[in-house]
Amino acid sequence: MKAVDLSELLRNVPPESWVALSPEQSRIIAAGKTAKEVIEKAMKDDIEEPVVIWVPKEWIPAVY
Amino acid sequence: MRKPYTAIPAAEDDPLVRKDGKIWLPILSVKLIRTHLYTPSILAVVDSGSPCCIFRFDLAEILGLDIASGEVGSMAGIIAGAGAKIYYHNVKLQVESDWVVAIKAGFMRELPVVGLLGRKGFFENFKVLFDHSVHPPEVEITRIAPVI
Repeated sequence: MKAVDLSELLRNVPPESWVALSPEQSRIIAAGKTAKEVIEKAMKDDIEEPVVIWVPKEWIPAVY
Repeated sequence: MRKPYTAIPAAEDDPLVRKDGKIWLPILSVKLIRTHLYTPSILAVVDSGSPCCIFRFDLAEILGLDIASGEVGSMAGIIAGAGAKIYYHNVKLQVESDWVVAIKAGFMRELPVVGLLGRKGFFENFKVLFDHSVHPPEVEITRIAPVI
């Protein structure tokens, strides 16, 4: 399985937002304040299987 | 199943980060399912430090859940201070495209990631190996046969 590198794709996305990625995680379909809106945008673009991620306030190492 | 870690952005001047400005995390693609409703695939971090599987509250809405109707608990993090509210609901967790397990998932407003796969719900259903002998590191999960 090939490693997925989202570092450059996500680096400049507004903080504290939701992002819908293409199924192969190679491009951003939508970014927004709620999960619902990015999912709806993906559906409007006929993306049936988007991959969704949350962008934190800052991209810093974290202990969860 | 064995999967390479996923790279996310990180500040290049952070001492923990290599100069390539990325951090590699053990991330799996999962879906939450409740009756006929399901989330899209979400990227959740495999986290043995988390007592259970925890997800951002927005996902509860997609599942048609009234988040506040769940069993209420508190959850603290590494930073000392009062715990935050967590709401538990019974859902199913689809892990990659291979397995579906029934779990009690916690939903929180303050979670800094979309989801964490923790000890209850994930590690009790999967044997997990974190392999840092390769680059990028890899995570290997093996389904633990359910006890009937």
